[in-house]
Amino acid sequence: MKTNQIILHAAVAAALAAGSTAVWAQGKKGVVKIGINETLSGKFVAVGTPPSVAIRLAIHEINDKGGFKVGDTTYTLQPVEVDNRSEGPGVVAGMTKLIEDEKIKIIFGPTVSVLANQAQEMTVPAKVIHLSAAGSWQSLGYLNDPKKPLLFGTQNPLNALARTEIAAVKELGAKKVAYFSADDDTTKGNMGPFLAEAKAAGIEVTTILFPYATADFSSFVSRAKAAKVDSIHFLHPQNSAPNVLRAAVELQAIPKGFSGRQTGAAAALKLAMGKPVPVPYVSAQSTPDLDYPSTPKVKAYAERLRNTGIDLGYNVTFSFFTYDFVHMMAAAMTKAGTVDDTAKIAAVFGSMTYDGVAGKICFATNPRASQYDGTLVSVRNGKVSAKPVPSPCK
Amino acid sequence: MNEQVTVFLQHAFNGISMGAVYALIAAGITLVYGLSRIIHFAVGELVMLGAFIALSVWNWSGEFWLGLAVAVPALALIGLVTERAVFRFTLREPLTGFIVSLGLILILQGTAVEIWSPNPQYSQPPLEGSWDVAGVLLRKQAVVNFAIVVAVLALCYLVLMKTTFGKSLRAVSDDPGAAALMGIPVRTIIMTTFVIGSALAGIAGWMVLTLGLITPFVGAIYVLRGFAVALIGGLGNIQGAALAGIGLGVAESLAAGYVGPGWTDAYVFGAVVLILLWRPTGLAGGSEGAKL
Amino acid sequence: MLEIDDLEVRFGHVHALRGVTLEAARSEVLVLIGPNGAGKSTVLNSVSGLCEPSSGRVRIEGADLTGHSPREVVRAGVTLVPQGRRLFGSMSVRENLELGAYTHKGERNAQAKTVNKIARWAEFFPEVGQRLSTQSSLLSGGQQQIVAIIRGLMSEPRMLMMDEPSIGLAPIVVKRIGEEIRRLNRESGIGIVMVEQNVEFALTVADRVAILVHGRVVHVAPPAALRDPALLAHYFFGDASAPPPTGGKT
Repeated sequence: MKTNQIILHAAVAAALAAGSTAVWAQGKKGVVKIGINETLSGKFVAVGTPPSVAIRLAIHEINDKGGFKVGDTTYTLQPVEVDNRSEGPGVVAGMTKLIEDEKIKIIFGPTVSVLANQAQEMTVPAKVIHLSAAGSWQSLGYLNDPKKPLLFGTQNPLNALARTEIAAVKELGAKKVAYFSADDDTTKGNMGPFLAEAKAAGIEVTTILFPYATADFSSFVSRAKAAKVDSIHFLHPQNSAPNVLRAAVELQAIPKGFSGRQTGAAAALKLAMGKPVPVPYVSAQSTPDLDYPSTPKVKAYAERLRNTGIDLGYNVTFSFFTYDFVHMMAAAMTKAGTVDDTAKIAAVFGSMTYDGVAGKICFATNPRASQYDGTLVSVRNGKVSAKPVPSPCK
Repeated sequence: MNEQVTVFLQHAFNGISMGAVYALIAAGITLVYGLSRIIHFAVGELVMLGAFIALSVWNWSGEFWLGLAVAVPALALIGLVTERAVFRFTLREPLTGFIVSLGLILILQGTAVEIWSPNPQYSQPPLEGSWDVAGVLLRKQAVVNFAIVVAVLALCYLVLMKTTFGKSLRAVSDDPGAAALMGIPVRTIIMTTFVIGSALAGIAGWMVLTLGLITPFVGAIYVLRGFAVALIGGLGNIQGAALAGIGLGVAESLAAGYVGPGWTDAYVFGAVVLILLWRPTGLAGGSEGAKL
Repeated sequence: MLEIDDLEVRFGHVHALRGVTLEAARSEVLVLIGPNGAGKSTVLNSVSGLCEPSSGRVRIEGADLTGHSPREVVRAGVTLVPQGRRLFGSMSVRENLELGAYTHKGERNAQAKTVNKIARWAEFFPEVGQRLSTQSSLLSGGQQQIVAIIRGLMSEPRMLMMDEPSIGLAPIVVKRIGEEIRRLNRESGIGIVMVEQNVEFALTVADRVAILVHGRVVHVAPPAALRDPALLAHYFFGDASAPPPTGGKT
């Protein structure tokens, strides 16, 4: 794992240096360090790598354009990265280095909830602006906590996800949908917003919860069919979506088709039946899709990410948890006129709207979670198309 | 046909095909326990290995059925190796055998993660679609799986009841000491049941593959159900395992179809506990304790 | 036929047999008697391969079979009918008998021979012959003992060892079993080595009686020489190491 990391770092550095044509602005110059505390090795390496690579890409792009201005000083960004090895002690040691040794005021990560919870215990008293996509920051109420004003969640809040999911159900033209998910806490946290959005959209929902480790979904699909639903919407675990889809097709239970959250195009193209499924299919995604870009901006970003030469694997969309926010942070510092006063920067950052790759981005107030474009990836007759579900930001 | 009847039959059929897989696994458990008194808890991992071996062969050859043809002898070989290398040393202390099997779970899972990665792997078995029988949709792969299980268990039953090998196997199960006095090679027979039990797990693994998704951790789903079925059917009783397997499958399916589906496991295992309190040797009768 | 030479058996700290030497011929019924724990069953178990002697020799027709497996001992012509019958209770009488012939599996016409043998013994013991399809655990104790004996005979032994065939049986049944054992010896020429607690029964059946005490053979004599209650009481209840009240060879 360690060797892999060294190779990865070298690859990022080389790839980013290759295209560098920095034109340095005249006048005073300064450097703002951006801290990254991520799971770059250990069991969560696949989660931590994409956000980390995206931060470096964004920093490189900002510097490449000559940096950003704050008052009469032109600043460039410098990434300072620590690998927490996917372990609590690594997170603490990393934060100590970033906060105490490097005196860094803006830190990203970790993305994994349990580690992010530990990390914020150190950044909050240090008055550091701390960004993470950790779902637990939302569910534990950290992002609503007035005592933690510098924590920012970089994942869509649950109701935004639900809005995208309902858009997927509508895309199928379904009026009565079976909501399929494992019977666990994740589902409990997500079901409320979905039901509320469905009610608002006039869609009738039958919930069908199954034991987490279900292998054969025939019975649950038959239950949905007996309830005369016209589509199935699948929440989680995403691994099981192809199984449910296949059962639903073979048991002729979904006249209008199948939708799922983050279930991806591959489920319908290949995973369920080895060939495209014969029913309409929509995957509701919380971020743009890099394989099926919904806007020219996303397409260009996917290319830039690809040009780094690093395979970000299955979790490549986790790069949206950081990329736009680095750009947004630079803009916020310009607007706030300071690179040190974290309260001031946070106030601007939390109330501005930034036009990024993931659409118009802004923070909801309660919780302080980012809102950006969702995406519907549709598969019909083996053809894939994608379109954004615009964020509510103005 | 009345719509409610159709729905009921649909749920029942859904359960039969899954129950057949449970029956197969339980038959292996019951054979191994019946002869060695070892609670072989790693049987779920054998199922998992069967699934992955079948998947690898399929990916390599493009022939889904070849996966079955390779997985079964491969698992038989694994059964032979584990018995020779480990379990034969624990025959006098079956509890040690049980603990060893727990260790084997970790080893086999770890091996599978190394070879096939921890990520889920998908299969799309070639038999797709379903047959419509009076409004009840019979998924083709499920029908074929069920037929295979019936054939395999019937063959096991015939071998047990009609052949000298089967009789000597039952004799060892009844009384290994007396069997030895007849000149029956008790150790060899016990080894053979590990081979057969593992081969049955290989078939079950291939069937699990036909359900679509496998991971190195998929064994846990099957081992508990396999043991529940073996207990209800009566340890050492193949017909009991077959009936109890189908019974558990149908019970799960009806629970999923009519009651709060999320609690399927709880209903089913609640029923298992009640049955065992009422009939400790299982519904069909089986062994009570160790004799070896 | 069977020679046991200076046999020692230890189970951990227990010294079960301390130099047992015995011979048995096919023409006779030899009965081992002795108090509980004297090591009588251990002698049979050591010969049949169920337990391994720590020293000494077991020869069958001159061939050394010390410590060999039960299977090899059966093949060499000596079969043990274990204490308590130990029939395969879930199986029919016929299946039990078929398994008795297990070591002949694979021989030419093995199946036909087994069928013939069952038919022959069924004739010899008609009350079992009528119940071949019955589940063996449903038979009476006496019938089970006869099935156990026939099962032992199915391997065509030249010598049959029996561990307490009278145990748990009614006196009238014991008498019958005794007659059958003698008939077997006389008519079929099968040597019998038997362990018995029931001394009266032992003396009725035996051609020779060996008395075991504390893992040693202390006395071998024809039954007539052991009709003296004082002599038996000496071995069973007295100090076995002291000389017996009347002469007897050891």
